[in-house]
Amino acid sequence: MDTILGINAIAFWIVATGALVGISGGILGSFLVLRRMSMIADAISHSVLPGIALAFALTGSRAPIPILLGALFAGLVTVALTEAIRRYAKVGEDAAIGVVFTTMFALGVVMVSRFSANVDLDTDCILSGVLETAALETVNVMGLDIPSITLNMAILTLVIVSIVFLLWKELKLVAFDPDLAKTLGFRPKFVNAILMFLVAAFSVMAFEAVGTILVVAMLIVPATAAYMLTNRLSIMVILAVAIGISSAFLGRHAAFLLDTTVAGMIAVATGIHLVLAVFFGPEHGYLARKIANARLAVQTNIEDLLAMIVRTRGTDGACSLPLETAHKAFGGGLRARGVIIGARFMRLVEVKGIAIKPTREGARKGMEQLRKHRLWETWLAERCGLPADHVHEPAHRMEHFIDENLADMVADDLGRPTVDPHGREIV
Amino acid sequence: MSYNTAIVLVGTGLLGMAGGVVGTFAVLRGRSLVGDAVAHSALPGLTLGFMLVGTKSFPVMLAGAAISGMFGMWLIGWLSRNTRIKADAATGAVLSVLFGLGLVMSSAVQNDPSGSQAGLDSFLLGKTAGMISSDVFTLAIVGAVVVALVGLMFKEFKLAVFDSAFAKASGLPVALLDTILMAMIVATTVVGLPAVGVVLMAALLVIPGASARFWSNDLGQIVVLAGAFGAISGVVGTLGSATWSDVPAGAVIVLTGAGIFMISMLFAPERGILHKVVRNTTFSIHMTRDHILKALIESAETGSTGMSQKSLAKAVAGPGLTIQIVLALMQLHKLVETRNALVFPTATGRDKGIHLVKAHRLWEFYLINEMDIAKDHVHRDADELEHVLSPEIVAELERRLALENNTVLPSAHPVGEDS
Repeated sequence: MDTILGINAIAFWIVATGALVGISGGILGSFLVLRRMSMIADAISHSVLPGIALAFALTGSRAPIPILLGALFAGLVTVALTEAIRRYAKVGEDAAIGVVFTTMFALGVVMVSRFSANVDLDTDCILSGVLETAALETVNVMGLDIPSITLNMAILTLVIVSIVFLLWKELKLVAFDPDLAKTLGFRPKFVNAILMFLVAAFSVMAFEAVGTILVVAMLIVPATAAYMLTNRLSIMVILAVAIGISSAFLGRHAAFLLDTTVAGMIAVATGIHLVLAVFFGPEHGYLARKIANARLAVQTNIEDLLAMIVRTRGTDGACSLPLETAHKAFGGGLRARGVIIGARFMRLVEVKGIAIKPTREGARKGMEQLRKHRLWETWLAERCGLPADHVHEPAHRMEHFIDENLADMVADDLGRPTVDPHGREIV
Repeated sequence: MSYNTAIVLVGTGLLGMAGGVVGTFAVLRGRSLVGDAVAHSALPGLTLGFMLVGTKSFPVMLAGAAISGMFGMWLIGWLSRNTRIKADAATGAVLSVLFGLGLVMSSAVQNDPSGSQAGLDSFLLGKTAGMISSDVFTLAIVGAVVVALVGLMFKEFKLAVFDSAFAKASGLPVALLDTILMAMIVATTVVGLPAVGVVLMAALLVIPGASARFWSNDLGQIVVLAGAFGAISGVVGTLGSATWSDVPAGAVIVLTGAGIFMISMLFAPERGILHKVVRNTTFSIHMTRDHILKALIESAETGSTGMSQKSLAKAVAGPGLTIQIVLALMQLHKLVETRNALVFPTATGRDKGIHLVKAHRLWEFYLINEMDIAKDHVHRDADELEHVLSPEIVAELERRLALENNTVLPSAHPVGEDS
């Protein structure tokens, strides 16, 4: 069959396989990233090599079950050795991981060279897998010719989704608060073991399809990108899966256009998603934070300006701040001008000649600032025992973060004072 | 030995030494996977160098690899510092994406008929056989520079790496030193890549330092040892791989290093596992011995003479076999003797036992009367401390509690109401 759903069959299976890797990788990777176990995933994906080589040497075939068992065995050995070294060596966990996975990988290389020198476990295969030729070895399932690696990957994905679904609460709790989990009777060690088991299984299945690099990339990068986009675990997992699928799709197309390796291109695609998430992520993204900071700066500066103006209130109730004073207060130049323009734009002040006067709204806001400032000064002086000449600075900073509620609470707590430590009126 | 083999031996020896020396700083700072990250990040630059120059020109490719590697490191740092992404995820993400990019570029190159794979293909596993004297020359230079820099600026590096706040306060240019260290790691990694490949280069940076850590607490000694271990791994590994012609030398070098690591972990004095096991066993034998003596003395207080092995085992609450072994040892050391299947303390044993009982009860008395601790809370504490309270401390306790010398207090919890 040459087309599936109207798409070229080979392309379809490549994307499908990649997408399945993305789904399992995204789900597992979310937990790994949250628990700072990304490098352990990197390690396991490298150290399954001797297990695969052993299975191949013993059975002479690349059937999935022995390979899976071999890899799991290698995965177990890796985790056990890493634990042992971490406990006995006076070097950190990272060194333990480094020692174990490189040694296992070297062992795997030796075994591969000795036992399977004339089989196609070659460099390219290890690095990039066999995505391009996935459609060649098919299995007939219910009348449809499915590539065997796709089928294996699909089964694995199903298993992973089921287990994660069943253990969702446990995984979630252990990821965020292992101590609480223990006291509640969940078993963090058991949950961890299951996670590692799934990671090893994933590494091995996906390794055959997409090579070591994409295994690591699909585990870590989509989940990391998702981490930048949300604060909720369920959303993070969904996003990671979506990014994985999207990367498979985009990567395959780009690889076709540029005539290059699909696995590598999918890895690059995940990277592009990460870059986008890092820059444009709402709330945590670089741009979003810069914008939020800028807004806060503008708001703070305008509030300072209003408070300054209101402090010039004379006995007739009118406030008027000389432009020059305002400029100097903000360090002159662009910044000062920007603040005044901003305040005018928000209709909080009017510039009349060489003086700035507040509008009604501006005066109200300014008085509010002043009230918060003086209340805080009073609170610092009376409740914290700070001397009168020490309270202005902290109050000057804090006043921007006190809302109405807090101001009222402070006023109540102090018994509704009418003067601040400098003798000035609190309204 | 052929000239070629000699060349390769010198080259890998130097590589191992440089990797060991410079990698130790990363290992001891908890950044062991730096080498892995650099090695993977170097691929795009390596390929770009190849693409620009056309034919395999080593210096250009190495320069590209170095720039790319440093970029990867910088990126990892930037992500860790400026986003909520943690260091481990940043490392994994950067290394896999950059390596993927490198694969994409190298695959594009390989599809171009004029591209010759040499240097790119061997990137994964290395190809020491292809080493020629100019490569060794490069390695020698890098090795010499690394050793010289580390040697000359040892004190500065030590301070900057392990106590950067103090170093900064002392006026050291910590950021600059850090950059120099990074640059050395990158340089070593990059020159080692053609020889041993990506993953295995990471190994050469981590394993020697981790092994050396078992033998000393002194940074200078560790660095020197790491260099030696690295060099030995390089040389022995290369020799070993010469006998296995189909196995890449990089793998054998790493396995040799791992062997050294295992030996260090097991047999190093003080920090090795064997030593710890011996020390712990000796300690628990001493504890059991002390408990037996105490049990004998306390049973004598209630009037019984001698104890059977069974009742001793119950009193001391340990595995029967241990009790038997310890008793045998005690008999050997003339601390106890057996008469009519009952165990008695000898004169020496009695002295020691009395001291222990005295120490235990004194401590309990002190806790109850001076520290206001409840009667049923003092036993465990005293049980632990009785073994380590020296005669001087015991005398001091007696003085403070205003007791006459050599009083043996009654038990704060007579047998029968034991915890």
